Amino acid sequence: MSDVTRILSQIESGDPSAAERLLPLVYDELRRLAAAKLSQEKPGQTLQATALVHEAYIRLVGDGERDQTWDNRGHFFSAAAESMRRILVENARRKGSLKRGAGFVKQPLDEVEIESPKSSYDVLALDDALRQLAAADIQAAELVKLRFFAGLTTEQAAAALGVSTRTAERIWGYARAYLFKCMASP
Amino acid sequence: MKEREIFDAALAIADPVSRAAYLKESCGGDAALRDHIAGLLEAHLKLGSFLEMSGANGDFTRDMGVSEKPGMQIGPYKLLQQIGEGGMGVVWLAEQHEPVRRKAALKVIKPGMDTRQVIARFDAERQALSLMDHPNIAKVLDAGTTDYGRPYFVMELVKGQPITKYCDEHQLTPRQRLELFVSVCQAIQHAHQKGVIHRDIKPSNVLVAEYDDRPVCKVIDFGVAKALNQPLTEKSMFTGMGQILGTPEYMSPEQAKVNQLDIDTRSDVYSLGVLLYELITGMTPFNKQRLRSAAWDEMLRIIREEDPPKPSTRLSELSSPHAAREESGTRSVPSTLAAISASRHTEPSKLTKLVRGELDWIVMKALEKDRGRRYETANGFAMDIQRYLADEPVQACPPSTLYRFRKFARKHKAIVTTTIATLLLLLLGTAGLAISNSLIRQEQTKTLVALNDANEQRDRAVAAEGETKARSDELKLVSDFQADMLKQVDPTAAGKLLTADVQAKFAAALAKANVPEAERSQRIGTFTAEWKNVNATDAARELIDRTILIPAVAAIETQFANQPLVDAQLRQTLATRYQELGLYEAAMPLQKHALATRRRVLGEEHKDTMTSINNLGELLYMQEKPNEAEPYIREALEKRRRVLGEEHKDTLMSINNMGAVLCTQGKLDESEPYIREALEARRRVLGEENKDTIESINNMAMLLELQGKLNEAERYHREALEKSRRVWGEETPETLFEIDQLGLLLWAQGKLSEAEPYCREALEKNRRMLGEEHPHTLRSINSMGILLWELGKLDEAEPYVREDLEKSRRVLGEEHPHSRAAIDSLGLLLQDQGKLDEAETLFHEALEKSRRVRGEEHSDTLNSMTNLGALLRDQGKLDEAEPYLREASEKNRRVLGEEHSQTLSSIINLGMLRQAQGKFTEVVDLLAPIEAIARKAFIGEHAMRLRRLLMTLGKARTGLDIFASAEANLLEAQAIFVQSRSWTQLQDTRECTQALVDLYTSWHAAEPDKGYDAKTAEWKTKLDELSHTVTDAIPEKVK
Repeated sequence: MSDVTRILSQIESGDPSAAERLLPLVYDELRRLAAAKLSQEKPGQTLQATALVHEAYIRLVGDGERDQTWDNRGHFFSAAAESMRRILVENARRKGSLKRGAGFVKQPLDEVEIESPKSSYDVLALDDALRQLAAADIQAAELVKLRFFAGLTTEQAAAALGVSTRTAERIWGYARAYLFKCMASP
Repeated sequence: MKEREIFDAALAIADPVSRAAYLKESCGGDAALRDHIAGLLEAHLKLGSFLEMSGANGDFTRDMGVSEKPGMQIGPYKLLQQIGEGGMGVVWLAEQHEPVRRKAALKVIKPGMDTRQVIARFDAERQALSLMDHPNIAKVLDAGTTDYGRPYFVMELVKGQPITKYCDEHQLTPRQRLELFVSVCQAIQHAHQKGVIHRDIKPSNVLVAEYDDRPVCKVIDFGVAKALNQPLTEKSMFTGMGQILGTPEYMSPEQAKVNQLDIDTRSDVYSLGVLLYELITGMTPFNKQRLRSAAWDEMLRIIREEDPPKPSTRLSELSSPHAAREESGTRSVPSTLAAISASRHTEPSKLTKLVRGELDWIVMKALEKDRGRRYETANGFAMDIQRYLADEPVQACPPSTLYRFRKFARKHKAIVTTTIATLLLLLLGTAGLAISNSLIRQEQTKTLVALNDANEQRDRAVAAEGETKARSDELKLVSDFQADMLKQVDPTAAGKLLTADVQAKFAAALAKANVPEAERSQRIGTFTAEWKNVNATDAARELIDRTILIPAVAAIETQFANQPLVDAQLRQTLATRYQELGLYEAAMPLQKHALATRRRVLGEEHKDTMTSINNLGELLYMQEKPNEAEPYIREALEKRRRVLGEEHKDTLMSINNMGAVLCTQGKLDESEPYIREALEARRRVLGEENKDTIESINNMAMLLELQGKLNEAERYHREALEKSRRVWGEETPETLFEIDQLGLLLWAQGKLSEAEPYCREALEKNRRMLGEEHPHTLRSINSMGILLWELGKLDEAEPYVREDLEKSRRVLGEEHPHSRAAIDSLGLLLQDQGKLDEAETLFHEALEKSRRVRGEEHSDTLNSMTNLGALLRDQGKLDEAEPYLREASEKNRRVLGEEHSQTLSSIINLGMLRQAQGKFTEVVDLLAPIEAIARKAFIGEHAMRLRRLLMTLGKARTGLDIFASAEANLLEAQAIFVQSRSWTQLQDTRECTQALVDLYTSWHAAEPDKGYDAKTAEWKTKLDELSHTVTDAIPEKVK
């Protein structure tokens, strides 16, 4: 059993500290994975956040371990979604600070680029809005993270949150409206 | 119901009318919630595919549908290839066929980035560019919107290279570089004149292309440009998300702050300075690698605080081989002196020599941390370079010795603060803490070295300036500078630093002494717990006094003996600082000295002399010596009216002060016109959201309060508090003061439950922010005690009241009015607790002091008199009580007026004495006339005073056989219920019931057949019940 699988089963058996240990593991794995992938790619290539999350899942939990329940995978994707959110926000901040010029000469890439899902939403604006949503409705914010940053389908996200698919759909509608409203009027 | 549930339910209702009705109903009266959900529903309509996934299994493919591709047509432009990418936009090489055939650069917002904020930023750039028309700035040719609705604009295509690269490749000499650079300055000057700051000047934004074989600069990318004068968009929001915009190596110190609101054209002057530095030396002032690898905060700190080496120093450092390696590998930057010189067509030995001197000064002037010392404008910068090129003397000059001293002191401000922490460790020797002595000694030595160093620098600086005139000018600078430093001394902040520093040092000391791990953490725990007993702000205040203020006084005396005005200015500053710290005694000699000097040297009607006159008055006022303060305040007012005019800010301050001082003297009628005039004029001249205006609003409230017009006062107090929270800020002493005031007023109105949160907030914040012994904290402790007491929590109140008295005596002195008020308070509390003897001693003391300090007829004195009289009466010492109560009520009537609540109270107390003496007619003569006024004055929590009045009146009328009136009085008194002070309630109810029993007994004796004996029996039963219900909850005295 991998560390992550062990932690997942500890979460399953009700160990509250296990969830805290999961996040850094997943976060590190995602960063490591991204760096390794980038070194193989041509400069200027970007990586897809959600693809990375799924690859990390296979590497850490293993595709063969079919006995993993969805509840269990839910914890993993919850941690992965949060990790990915952090990575993307950090990247966006760094890009903001080391803004490249828009002149004639194209500058070489010198930092890890992870493409945010759905090409390039303003990740920082989204993150701000997400934080407001979390204050109003934590479950809705969690759902957005699972769907948007970890790329889960409505069914998967519903299972991870332990709600019905219909409920998840309703929450999703609410959350999108909320975020849209926040981002439209900053 | 949760917001989301309301949203879901509303979403399910298709009919807009029913939906609106549902929203209204489910949100109750919460209009904000209703609007919010309506907004969500509206947003829901516009969602489209916002955030939606394209693949069913989370398998993302980049949605290229809306991205531009080569060959695509946007308006009349055909996209050829992507040539650049910025934070929010992509730049394409585009081709135009109609109406002219040309190539251009087309910038379009990135897909998905088209949020309102980004569009605003993008529009700003477009507008900024279109405002400008300069040969060295890329022009905007066109603008529009793509088919997908994203804005774009088209710029003149610049086929150029970054200026640094161009210069190196073409081996331009330093002179040629300077000439080229002058045109960059002129372009930036043009932008500044149009109200646009570039904010991101760097080589890749300054391109050089050749036109007719001549190099021409073009400044591009005004993407972070900020409007100066006019709004470029409705909301300019370039830093709305707290991002740092700009490029670290080229960023000015003021840009390297988290909050960048305060950026002006001089930031661009700085960045131009960096560019020139790089053009000359081939390197940026701060090492690129070091900046990039430093942590975020560290990077900003370097930019803000570190002084870069002069260009010539930088070049000469390159001669040593290890220094050269630092820069290598960062780009194609040549990294040896030989290579740099070669690309400048100059011999290595000549390059350094050429740069040393004037060029050094010019560059360093542009790179000043303090933008006030940079070139005022980009043009000024250009002109100095042109002077250099024409061999004329340049404006930039080497820093003077004195200037270096100033820089030294600025840099060492941090040391001064840590020094405080070190000294505190020494002071804390009593705590019995084991700290390595050698460690302390080490720190001590370091401190002394730092201080000596500073003194030496200063001595040298002073000695170096020879000419008398120059000397006095420079001394003025020093004094300004020192005054400025002193203003920045903040005990609260220092206290926080102190806490962190002391704890860190303690931990380090234990580690150094090799204390075992387990014991160490235990001792750190104990230490931290003990440290909590130290008020860090107080400690810091004391240390500021010892380590900064006292030495400063000594320094003034020795150093400025021949410079009376500098001496006076410094003393004035120190006096004000002491006053702000609440150290009034220490401020006084400085203040007097400063005034005497200014009167002598500057004359009576100089602005500074008038300031000192006023300040001496204020200081006396702060010491609550209004009689001594008045002549100074009056003198300053008369002079300012005459010299500065009626509406000058200082004159208005003097009018306000005059009102305040008269008010404190108890001359309310005289005070009122001043307070009103100051308030009205300040509102008009200085505006509503002004600190002085707030002061006047507060003073108006205080005056009304003293006049007994509490409801009017409350309105002003609330206005003052509300404005203060906004203008001064939440965590400021001024706002705390207002909170305190409002709490006190609500208390005075009898709105105790409303007052409690304000009082608690004020006390807690005062302790934390101003320290345990600050006068405001003392007042706050006092109110807390009294409030709890009024709420009937006598045991909770006592520690506050005692703490207040003890601290006031120690800090403010025995004769201070606050100390006297504190005595009053404790006395009354003790009286309520039944500790009568202790109370009597205190009341005598309080009255005697108030007479001496405030005068015979001050309302406080009269209040003390009533208190003492009432206590003596309740002890049964009727003859002793008589003169006090009589004098108090007579004087209150005369001084405060018939209707003042204090007057009414004193009359009721006198009436109670007459009742106890059996002089019933006098009771009725005294109390009947004030009954109607008392009904209006004593409402809410104060109704117990009305109850006393009615009870006393009823008993007296019983004695006079006016039975029917007596019955009415007593039954009404019996019915008055006051929530607070339940013990008084019980006590009064019992007394009143007894009075009713007595009434019906007498009434039955007079008219035996009217059945009053039955009533007697009825009330007797009630009295018995009452004596059984008296429990432990009631103070000793009542039992």
